[in-house]
Amino acid sequence: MRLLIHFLTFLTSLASLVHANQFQSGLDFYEKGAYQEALEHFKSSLSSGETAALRHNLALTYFQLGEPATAVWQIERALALEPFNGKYQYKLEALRSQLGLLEDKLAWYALAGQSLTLNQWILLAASGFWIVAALYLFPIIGGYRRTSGLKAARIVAIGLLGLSVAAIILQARGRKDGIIIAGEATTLHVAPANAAPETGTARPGERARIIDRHNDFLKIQTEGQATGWIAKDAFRKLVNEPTPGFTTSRK
Amino acid sequence: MRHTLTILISTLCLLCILHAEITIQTRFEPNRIALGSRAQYIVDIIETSSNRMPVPEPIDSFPIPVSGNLSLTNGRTLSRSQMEFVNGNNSFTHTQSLIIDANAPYTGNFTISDYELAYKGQTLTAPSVTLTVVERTADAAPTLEELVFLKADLPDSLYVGQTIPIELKLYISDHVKLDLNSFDRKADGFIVSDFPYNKFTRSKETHDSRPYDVLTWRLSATPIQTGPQDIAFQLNLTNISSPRSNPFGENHPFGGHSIFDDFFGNRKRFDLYTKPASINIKPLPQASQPTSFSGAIGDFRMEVHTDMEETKVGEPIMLSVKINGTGNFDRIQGPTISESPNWRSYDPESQFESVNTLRLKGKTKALRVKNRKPSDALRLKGMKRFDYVFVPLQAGPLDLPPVRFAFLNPATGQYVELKSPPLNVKVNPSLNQPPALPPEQSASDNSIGLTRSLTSEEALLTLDYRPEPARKIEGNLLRSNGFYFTHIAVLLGFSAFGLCLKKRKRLRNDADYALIQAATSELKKARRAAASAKDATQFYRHAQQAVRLAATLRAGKNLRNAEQSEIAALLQKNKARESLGRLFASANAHRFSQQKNATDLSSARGQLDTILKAL
Repeated sequence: MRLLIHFLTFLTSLASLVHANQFQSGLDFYEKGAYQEALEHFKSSLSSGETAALRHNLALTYFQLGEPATAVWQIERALALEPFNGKYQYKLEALRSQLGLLEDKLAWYALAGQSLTLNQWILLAASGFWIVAALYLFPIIGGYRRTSGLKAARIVAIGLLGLSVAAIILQARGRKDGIIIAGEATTLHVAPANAAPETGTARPGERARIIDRHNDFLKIQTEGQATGWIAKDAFRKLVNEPTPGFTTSRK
Repeated sequence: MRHTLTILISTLCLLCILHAEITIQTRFEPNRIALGSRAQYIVDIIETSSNRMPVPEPIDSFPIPVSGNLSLTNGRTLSRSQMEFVNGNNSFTHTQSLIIDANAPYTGNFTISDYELAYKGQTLTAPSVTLTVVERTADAAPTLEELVFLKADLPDSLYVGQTIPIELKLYISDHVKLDLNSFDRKADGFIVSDFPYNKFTRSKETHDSRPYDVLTWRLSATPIQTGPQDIAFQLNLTNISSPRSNPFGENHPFGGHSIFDDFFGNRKRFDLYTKPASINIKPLPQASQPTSFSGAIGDFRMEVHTDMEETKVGEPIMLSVKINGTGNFDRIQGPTISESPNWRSYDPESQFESVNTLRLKGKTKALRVKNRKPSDALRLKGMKRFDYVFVPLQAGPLDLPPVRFAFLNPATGQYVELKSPPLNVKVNPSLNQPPALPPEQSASDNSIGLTRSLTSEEALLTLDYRPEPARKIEGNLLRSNGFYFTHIAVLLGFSAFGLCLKKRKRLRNDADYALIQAATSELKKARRAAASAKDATQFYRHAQQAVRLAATLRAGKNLRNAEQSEIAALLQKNKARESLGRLFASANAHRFSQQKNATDLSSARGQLDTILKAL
């Protein structure tokens, strides 16, 4: 048993070493201006662990390779991993500016909702629920007096529960968000078919939210309030959440 | 020798058979005309062969010796082939015709003498022909040129790149009906707009006391090469004369009778040309050419305005530059605006509005349709608008970069440069200011002045060198079965704890319940102690205690110190009472006799079980 533990520890250390080497190689190639090689190494590093810095570096590499829309996706992903990183926010705005997209900062409550991950908020909400239930039911069942301390604890627990539920709703809605990664402006159609009449245009790097799905098409609403159907390949969700009939791949 | 002669004769015969016979004929058609009429000088090169259709070769030059002031213009070629099969013999004929219009300036004979022409390695001699031009009689029918002619007003000189409108006028005399077949032009040094077949204006004009219907097409032409450049236009027309209605008689140019005329009328195709013209194309003056000049030639005015006078950092405003006037709008590029550190600008979008559209703005739809004119298509007069988007990069009162636009006025030959006055825009700080600088480099660092903030271009080059473990944002606990199983377990524990609390509450508040609960618990202990007792004293003490506790449970009141009679009253069966009596008697006997070692407790244990079951 002890041998197995030592072996697993060794394997983990080896994987970390390989990851660090790939990351460092990506940095070296980038500094030499070999962006395609840097991209390959950063992507290899991604397979052994995703970090915000890695996503950020991928964003800059894609930008240097002339794929600003994909760069926007990568840096949005980095911000999803580290939502309060000021440098990333600054660079995101710079990238969006390069694509002619106007400044569109997250509202304070949306940013606060990203302070924890969805699962953390769910655990917090579940804990809050049981605490609220215990603080209300156990004194009644046990016939204890309702002291001011108990009342204060109830208020705190209810506040925690409400906050968590709001954050869960915000993050669940955010799970439908993504980026237009097509290289140029993409036509939105009134129906899920390329031959359908046009309803608007989605610009590269623009944020959009999924409204509906059908075969290889997604119905989206862009940040510019244009609504219509778009080919699935032109859009990429920020958080992968595989569901039947719709998958996203790491890149 | 005899064989050689035979071969030579046979070869000559074969060459004669294979080689096509070439003849050349010339003629004027007609060879006698009235002064002012037009004849055609026609050269026919006829090739005849008996075994295959001759293949013609192009002729590079016709050294036609023209006598007098006979004018030969508008040469064109025509080819036709013919195959005959007569009495088993084939005959292939190909005729290549050169047709040239001939115009005589005065009466007399005009002779084109014979001349030699090289064709397919042979030297052919074109025979001489004579055109006789006589005085026109008073009652003579009008000539073709008097009935129909084409005219284009062209300037003598232009600047290269200058776009001018050209009115192509077709004059048609009364009683002449024409169909337009095609349009052609000879203008290699020009870009000429497409011929608008169906867009023409119709008017009436009198020319040499003869009334004409005038059809006018508007074209535009832009010279692209300097130096003298020839330009001419051609229309191919078909005359339609109705049967038996030729007001000019048989001598009418479109007249003449055939057997079919009575049924179909007389249809004749012919070409009309404008007079050959040459325009001197001047190069653009290089001296004092402004740097802002981008090819605009004409007469223009410029208006500049913004869509708002106040904005915020990062919020775009639009700078509109309107170029009004007349000239080559298609060649006008958006004025180049200099870079400014205060503004980020984007390439402009342009839109052209023709003068008719401008004039009709604000009027009713019906009027707009009624007044629509084909001149819109030339795009020579109107307004071209360039919309620039500017994004302010910092707050404060900022001047937009000046707009400069230069054009060449062809009337004066001078460049004119227009410059907009500085437009001041008040830029307020953005409500979402933080992204302007990375947080760790703003504020205090800048106030010291030892470091500078990165520009966005520099920031987009700078990698992050320190990866740190990231939180996991994938997955959703709400879709996990483990999450729900865990909460079911929590619910069960929660319920159990609630039941415990409920029980403790009842124990506190209900004395009877507490007595029973305590008696039950003590009874279990007393029974276990009695069952495991090793001497009679302990057994009888625990047995009596168990019986009293069982009685307590049965009666619902405290009988821990009850006498035998009180317990017996609770027993219904005699056997149980007897067992109770013997058990208590034995216990008393042991207690008073101080005998610790019992001889046989098995009967006593049976009595205890009987009593407890009865209770």
